Amino acid sequence: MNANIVVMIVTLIIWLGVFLYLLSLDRKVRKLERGHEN
Amino acid sequence: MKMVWKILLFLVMTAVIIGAFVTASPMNPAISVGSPDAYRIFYFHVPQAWVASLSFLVAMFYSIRYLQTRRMAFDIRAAVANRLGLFFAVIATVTGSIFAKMTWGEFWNWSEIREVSIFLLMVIYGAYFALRSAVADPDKRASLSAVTSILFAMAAIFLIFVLPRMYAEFSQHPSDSVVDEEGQITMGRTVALIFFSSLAAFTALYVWMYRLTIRVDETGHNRTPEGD
Repeated sequence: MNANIVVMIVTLIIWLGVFLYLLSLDRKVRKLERGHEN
Repeated sequence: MKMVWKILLFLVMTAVIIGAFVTASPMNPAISVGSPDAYRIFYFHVPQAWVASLSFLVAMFYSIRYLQTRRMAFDIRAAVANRLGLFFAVIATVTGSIFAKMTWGEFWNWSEIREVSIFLLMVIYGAYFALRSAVADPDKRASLSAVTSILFAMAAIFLIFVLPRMYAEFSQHPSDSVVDEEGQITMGRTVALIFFSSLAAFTALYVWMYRLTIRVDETGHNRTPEGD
C-alpha cells in the first residue's frame, strides 16, 4: 500500500482516539459538575 | 463547547488529515530540499506552533488579570494555558524533528536557530511548573506564577517571532512558507485551503481542551476541603 495512505490511516486513528477521549472526559466532568450542584 | 461544534471540529480535522495526504505535496521545489512527502507535516506542525504561541499569550492575559484582581480563577486559567502551551510546543517539536530527519538528515541540530529557541522555550516553561510545585502557599504561588508567566510570555514572543528573524542565516526553515516579506500569502489555493482549515481546527481543538481542563481543575478545586 502507498506509504502516504498508511500514514494517513494511522493519523486518522490517532485523531479518532483523541476526539473520543475528549468526549468521554467532557461527559465525566459534566457528571461531576452536576454532582456538585445537587 | 456545544455538540454541533464538536462534530464540526471532528469533520474539519478529518478532512484536513485526508486532504494533507491525498493532495500534492505543499513543497516548493525552488527553495526546498528532501522528500516532497515530508513537507505534508507543514499542515500540522505550523498550526501546533501557532496554538502554543496563542496559549502563552492567553496565559499572559490571565496572569495580568490575576495581578489586577487577585481572583484565584484567573491563576487557574493562566496555569492551564501555560500547561497546554507547553504541551503543543512539545508536539510541534516532535513533528519538527521528524521533518528535520527526513529533509536535513538529523532529528536535532544545535545550529538551527528555531530548534534552539523552542528548546529554550520549553526549558523556561519547565521552570514555571517547577516554581508552581515548589511554593505551597496558594496566594504566594499565584503571585509568583503570574509575574513569571508575564515575563516568560514576553520571552516566548522574542524566541518565536524575533530571534529566528534576527539570525535568519542560522535557520534552515523555509522563511516564506506562509507569507512572503510583503505579507502576501505564498501558497496555492488548495494548500491554503487545507492549511487555514487546519489552523482553524487546531485553534478550535485548543479552545475545547482549554475549557475542559479548566473545568477539570475547578472541579478538583471545589472537591478539596480547604478549597485549594
